[in-house]
Amino acid sequence: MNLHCQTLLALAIVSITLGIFTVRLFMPKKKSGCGKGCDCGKS
Amino acid sequence: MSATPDGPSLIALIGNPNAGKTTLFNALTGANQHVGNYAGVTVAVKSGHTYTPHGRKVRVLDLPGCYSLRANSPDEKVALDALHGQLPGEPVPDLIVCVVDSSNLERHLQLVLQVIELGLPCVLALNMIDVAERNGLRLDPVKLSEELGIPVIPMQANAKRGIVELKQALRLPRPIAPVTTWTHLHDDPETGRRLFINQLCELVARRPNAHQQTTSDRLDAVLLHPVYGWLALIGIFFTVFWAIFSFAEIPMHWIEAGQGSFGKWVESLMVEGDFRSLLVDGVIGGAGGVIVFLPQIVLLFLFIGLLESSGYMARAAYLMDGVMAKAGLSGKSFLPLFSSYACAIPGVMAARTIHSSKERLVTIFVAPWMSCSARLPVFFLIIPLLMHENEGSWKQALTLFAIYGLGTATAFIVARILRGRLGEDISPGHFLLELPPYRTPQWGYIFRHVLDRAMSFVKKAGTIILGLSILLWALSTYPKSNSSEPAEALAHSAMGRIGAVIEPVVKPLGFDGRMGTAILTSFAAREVFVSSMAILYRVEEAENEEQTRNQLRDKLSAATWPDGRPIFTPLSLISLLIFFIYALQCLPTSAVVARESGSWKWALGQFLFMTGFAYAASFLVFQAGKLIGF
Repeated sequence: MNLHCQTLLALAIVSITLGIFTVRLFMPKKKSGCGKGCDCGKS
Repeated sequence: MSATPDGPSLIALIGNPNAGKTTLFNALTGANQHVGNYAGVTVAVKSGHTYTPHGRKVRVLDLPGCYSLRANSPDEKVALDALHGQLPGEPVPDLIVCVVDSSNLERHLQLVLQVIELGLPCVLALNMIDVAERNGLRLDPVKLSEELGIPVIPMQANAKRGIVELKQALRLPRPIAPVTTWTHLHDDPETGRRLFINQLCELVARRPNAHQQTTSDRLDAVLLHPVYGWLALIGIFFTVFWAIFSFAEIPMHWIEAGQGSFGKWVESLMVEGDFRSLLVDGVIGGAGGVIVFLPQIVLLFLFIGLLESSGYMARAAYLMDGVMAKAGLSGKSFLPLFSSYACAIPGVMAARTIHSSKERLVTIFVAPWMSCSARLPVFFLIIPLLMHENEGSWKQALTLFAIYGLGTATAFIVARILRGRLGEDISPGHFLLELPPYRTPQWGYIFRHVLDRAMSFVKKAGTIILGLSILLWALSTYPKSNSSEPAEALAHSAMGRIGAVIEPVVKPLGFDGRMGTAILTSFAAREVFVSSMAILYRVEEAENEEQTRNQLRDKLSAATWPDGRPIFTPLSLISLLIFFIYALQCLPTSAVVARESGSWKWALGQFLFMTGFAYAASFLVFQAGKLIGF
């Protein structure tokens, strides 16, 4: 793998990681229901 | 209610704390919920499924333990709401399984009578029958069933004895127990219940050797002794810290050796370039650098599990009650605070067992100062740097013990001040603690719990920490400079520039820009600090080829300021330790605090106070140390 390809691949991985973090940040959170309902309190 | 003609479709397990409800719940549903030999392990309703002998699905609710149906604390209120069908989305249960500790029948029956008075169909699970038998107690379940008018099933949930019989009881709809006879015994219902229970116990329980001391009594004579008890407490906890350092060394060496060889192998496969650097420095050096601490995390949870399961934790709470009182708290706060040593989130949730709302708020406020396991990788990185490798592991253990002591002592002082400012409770509460008999640890549950924790740590390292390591690598690599000098390349990168901005803020604490940046990244998750340091200090890594087990520590020891002075002096390392003891760098904890306290302001106030306190304490330590010539 030459130097240019390595840079492209590294940048692609960084972009995908950044994309995943961004999507997760803005994705609606799943409510755990702790304190009011079930399936919570697993320590 | 939603009972079918075939029998109940929703059952609820209720009982006093530490009656074995969660053990029974796990045995019925095959779940792996946390259990412990002390009161207050369950603070929220848990749901699962079981099947009758004929294969019909039945939903099971595990309710928090409660001594009565008066709803004195939030967890007791949850249990009461569940019985009345007032939990959102939950109907009234078709059958209540009252779980009692057979060796402690007199007290546990109080709640059973109250449940019967509610007019709900009940079954009595006479749990821990083995303990009662070992104590020389002879029970007559048939007579007990006749007197109460409900089915009684002797069982030992941890060995799955009696589970089949209990499932048989779920086959058909249960009639409501007959109208109570004890209400006629006295005008006061509580006294009436007590009189009835006394008569009932005379009929159904025989203890020929009632005055004989049990093994637990003999052990308690030492472990609860005003002097020997404290010596034992300090000895036990110090041994835990020492063992964490000593026993983990061998597996840590294996992981480090494997990680080093893997890095070299990957390096040998590719020509030099960004992708190779990303894999070796970012992924293997970053996320892999955190995995190395897995053995210590596993050992910590193993010891906590042993202490909980054996019954010692309740004794520790009893001994600590006096100390807690000096901090304006009570023994009720001990378990939430102790749980926070593992993770502040279950600790904050466990504060639901505290009756006084003011005490609960104060406990929640100081809980993150109990050093959680996420701080351990940071401590394990810094302590050996401070102590040098040739120092014995007992000195490192003593330092770790002191770190935990400092966090705890500060938490108590702040709790005292805060408790004073919040004022007295309108109705003062009392600390009642059940001392369960000592038991052989439930190894199966302990190992499953430790495995859960280990998997969760590995998952975190493989997701959040891996992702952040990749982003940190990018920030410390791009934009690229034309210089081939690693230090200049880092200074030209985005991270180098952030470090330059942060440096004036963190320099008074003895930190350089890279440390400041690493601290900044650790606000996402504390463990990220270790991988950030590994990535940010790779300048020295390139120069140092030797494969030693303290590779990162060597690199940190070699790091210098531009004028050649070492960055990591004993004083700056102590300042760094102080910062990590006090800073609240955990967003999930803040979210749980907001939910449990019912206020984002409280969570925000806690975050700002703790971070400000950490900065001020590090500043004072570093500047005072410099003034006196360190």
